[in-house]
Amino acid sequence: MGKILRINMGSEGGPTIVEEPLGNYAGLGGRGLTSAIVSKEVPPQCHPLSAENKLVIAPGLLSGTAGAMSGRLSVGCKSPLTGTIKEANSGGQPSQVLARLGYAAIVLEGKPKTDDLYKVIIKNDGVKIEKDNSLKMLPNYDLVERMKSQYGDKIACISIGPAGEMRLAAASVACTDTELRPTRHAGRGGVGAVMGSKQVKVIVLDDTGTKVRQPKDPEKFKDANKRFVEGLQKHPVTGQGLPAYGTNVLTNIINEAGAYPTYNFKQGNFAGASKISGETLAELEVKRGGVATHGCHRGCVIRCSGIFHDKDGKYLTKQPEYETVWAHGGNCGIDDLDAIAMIDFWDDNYGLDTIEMGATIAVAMEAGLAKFGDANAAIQLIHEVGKGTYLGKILGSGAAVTAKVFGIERAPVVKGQSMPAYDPRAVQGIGVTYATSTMGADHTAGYAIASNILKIGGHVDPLSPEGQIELSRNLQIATAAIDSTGMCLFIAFALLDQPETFQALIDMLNAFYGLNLTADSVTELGKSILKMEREFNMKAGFTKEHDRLPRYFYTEPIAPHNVVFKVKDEDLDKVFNW
Amino acid sequence: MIFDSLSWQEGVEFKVRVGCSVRDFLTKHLEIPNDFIENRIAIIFLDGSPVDDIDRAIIKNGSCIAMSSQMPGLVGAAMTRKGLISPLRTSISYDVKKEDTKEEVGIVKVKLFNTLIKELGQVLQSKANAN
Ligand code: SF4
Repeated sequence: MGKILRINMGSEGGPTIVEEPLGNYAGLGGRGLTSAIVSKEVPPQCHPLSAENKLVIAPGLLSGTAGAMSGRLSVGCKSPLTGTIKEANSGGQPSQVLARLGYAAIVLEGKPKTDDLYKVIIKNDGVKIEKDNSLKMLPNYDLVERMKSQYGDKIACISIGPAGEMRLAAASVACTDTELRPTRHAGRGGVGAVMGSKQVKVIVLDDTGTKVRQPKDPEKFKDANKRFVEGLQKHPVTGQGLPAYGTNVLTNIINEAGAYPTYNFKQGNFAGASKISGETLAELEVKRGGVATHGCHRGCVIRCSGIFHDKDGKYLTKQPEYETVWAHGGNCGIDDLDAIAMIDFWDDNYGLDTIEMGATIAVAMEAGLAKFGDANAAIQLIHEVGKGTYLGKILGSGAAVTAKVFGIERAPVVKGQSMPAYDPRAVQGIGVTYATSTMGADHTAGYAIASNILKIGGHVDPLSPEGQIELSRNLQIATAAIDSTGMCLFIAFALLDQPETFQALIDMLNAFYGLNLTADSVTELGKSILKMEREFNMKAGFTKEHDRLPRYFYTEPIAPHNVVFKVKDEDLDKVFNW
Repeated sequence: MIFDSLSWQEGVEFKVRVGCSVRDFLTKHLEIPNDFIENRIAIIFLDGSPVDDIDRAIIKNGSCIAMSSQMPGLVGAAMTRKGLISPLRTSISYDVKKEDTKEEVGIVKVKLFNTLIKELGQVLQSKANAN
């Protein structure tokens, strides 16, 4: 995995391909690599859809190895949704396949001078880029079927749907799963719009003839991987809760706590929560012949995903995640799993971020475009986006734009990106991360909760403002570091309680690369990534005043606990003082 | 009457003597062993507030008690009883009030979530039916 594939889409006479060694980027992977390339090579003031922006697609440091959980892919660029640097993360097969093909990153640069659409085919024996205008405006599922018929079923695809081609700020980059379906998405921040601006519809990957990446010390790596897997399997969250119910296991809990944003963040409880919970979803999936425990890529041992069948027992979509079920469910007042699954399918097919679209539809409902709870109207609004009507283009630009167009005050966004499924008034600690993340309101930092990196319990009093700030800082550091390994963030639940599982992860990295990393080196890696990202954002014009929640979170109490967000601005400003 | 997963998620009613602590309610009325409470029931809500001290939180007539195993994520982990980061949700935590200690016969709603539906549902079923 020692080379970078650069494709200049703007070269005279058509796109050109260059392969080069990692050079100064050696030792970086995943988010570490995407953020390094973007911060070094992209002018921070550039327009995100201009030729100056670059789309960087990078597997993690351990992707393509026999290491469990290592198949996450990072997609980075300057975001058209937030204007900040962006790393969006996806599961699916492409990360493993790309790493086995020997690439640490694909960098799409420049911009074609014509309106032609291209496909890139990467095999063990070389890279080809071809014009293919017959793919224009194909939804992701149809596109992947077309690629399958042309290149066989041993491929993995990275693609955009119509939303990406239309350069909508909520557009995602799709990755195919183990069944070769485009169900996994680098969703956040409009990375699909940047791929659309490069006019690359799909990257087809075929690793036939390649081998699993070999560690420097195979015995030590095997042993560390075994300990790592055992640690994940014995932990109640990664060994039981997530495999049985997926992330949607959180619906009942967050709802019971009064922290479940409902009706566009108006209240913290949703009466229909049990009808759309992970428990109900898993039961329905099994009853209809779907699957309630499934990995999004080969090598995942937690398997938090599943397969959702419709009422007739036919495949409809993958198991929607907690954030999707919340965004299109409770936040829009919809308590119908079939409708939520249908919207999830169309989000995937058009290539849209489910969190951004759910938040946007809730804003549209508040604006009177549809009634809260009207599932059919919600599905129609998604079709407006897919068809690219004027209304659809507004909605596809996200919650902030939609709120502005329709004169709605309550836009739950930070730096232009929608907040995820936890109300920061009920759980103030998460609000600190929403406000200060380099990516806009982001939920993933809330998953990297590993005490070893966080130094919680003895080091910090989470009740004090300093404690909340330090916890958020350390969460963001841990997230950035894990996102660089290619590991799924959900491993962090086991790392929280089991220091030996955290050590096993570090041992895997050391055995693979012949290094002597410690927990402190992991922290340093995370810090250096955040530092690069912060510097990029500052040069792009972001100041501490952008690290705030929307004002109404400070003034409008949320029921049932009737609380407001109370963390002071001066405390928020301390998150990055290290 | 058979209570399915949805019934447990929405809550099953028990007629019991209230005015006791959450621990007494769980161990004496529902007969859940203490080691199960300590090892498997990571999260307990009383009337929508996460509880840390189950010996001091008092059940009253009309209370709703919800129970869950350990949950993922910052917010999930913050809900844990006396967890490392439970102070993150102090503004919604259960606040012990003195006037809640009146002993009487009353109705308590019990909600079970996730793995606890399978682990406790059947055992509690007979107690709910015996009401
Ligand atoms: S735990 Fe879930 S999200 Fe993570 S790799 Fe496995 S299936 Fe994908």
